[in-house]
Amino acid sequence: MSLFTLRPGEHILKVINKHWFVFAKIIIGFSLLLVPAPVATALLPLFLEGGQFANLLPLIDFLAVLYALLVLLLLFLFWMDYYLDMWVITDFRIIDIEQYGLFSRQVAEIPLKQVQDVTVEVHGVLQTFLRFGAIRIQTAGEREFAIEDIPRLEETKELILTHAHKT
Amino acid sequence: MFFFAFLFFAGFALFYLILSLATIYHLWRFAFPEHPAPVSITAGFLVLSGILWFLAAGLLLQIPS
Repeated sequence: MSLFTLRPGEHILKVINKHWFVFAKIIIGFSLLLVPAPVATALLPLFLEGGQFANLLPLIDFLAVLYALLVLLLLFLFWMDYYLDMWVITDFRIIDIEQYGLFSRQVAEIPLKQVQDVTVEVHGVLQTFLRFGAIRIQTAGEREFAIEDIPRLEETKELILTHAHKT
Repeated sequence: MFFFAFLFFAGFALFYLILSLATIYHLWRFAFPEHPAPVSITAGFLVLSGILWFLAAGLLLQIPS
């Protein structure tokens, strides 16, 4: 593991990923992107058959499959981005890992002893019913850390506050 | 037409291979016991990709030269 190194005696308490709904929105977007491929392979033969461009039909099917492959690859890349965005809560600190594309990421950490206040925010119907939202952490240095769209808000808040008071 | 389609196929295959391997490498490299490498998602991606590449190769062979 090269995102962070645990110190002697440090243990991981919880790893939090964003809520599944965040990725569901991406899947819906990519499903819409996939639509042109079957539409092109279904509709273009109706216009091209019998005409001078009829020999293009295998090429259109071929390009439609390559397009589907491109969408699949992009979906896999977005999924990696989603999966590698995480918060790691240990008994000493909170590590915030933000993946940006393939070769860029940001790793920030907040020592639990600096945590002063933890705020849970839920906005809107979807966040209320699907039980996810944002957690904002106010630290002693007047800095604020936030993670958006995470599940199990209350449980996470309690975990942070319990261990912040212990340190 | 087949020649240009084949060149495009080969170039796209190289691009696809590099990005797929880089993504899988990242998922495995940053795995740790509490956040394991996603075996089933990776396997699903590889199987689906394999099927689509097989289909693409079959369609490539149907393109007139």
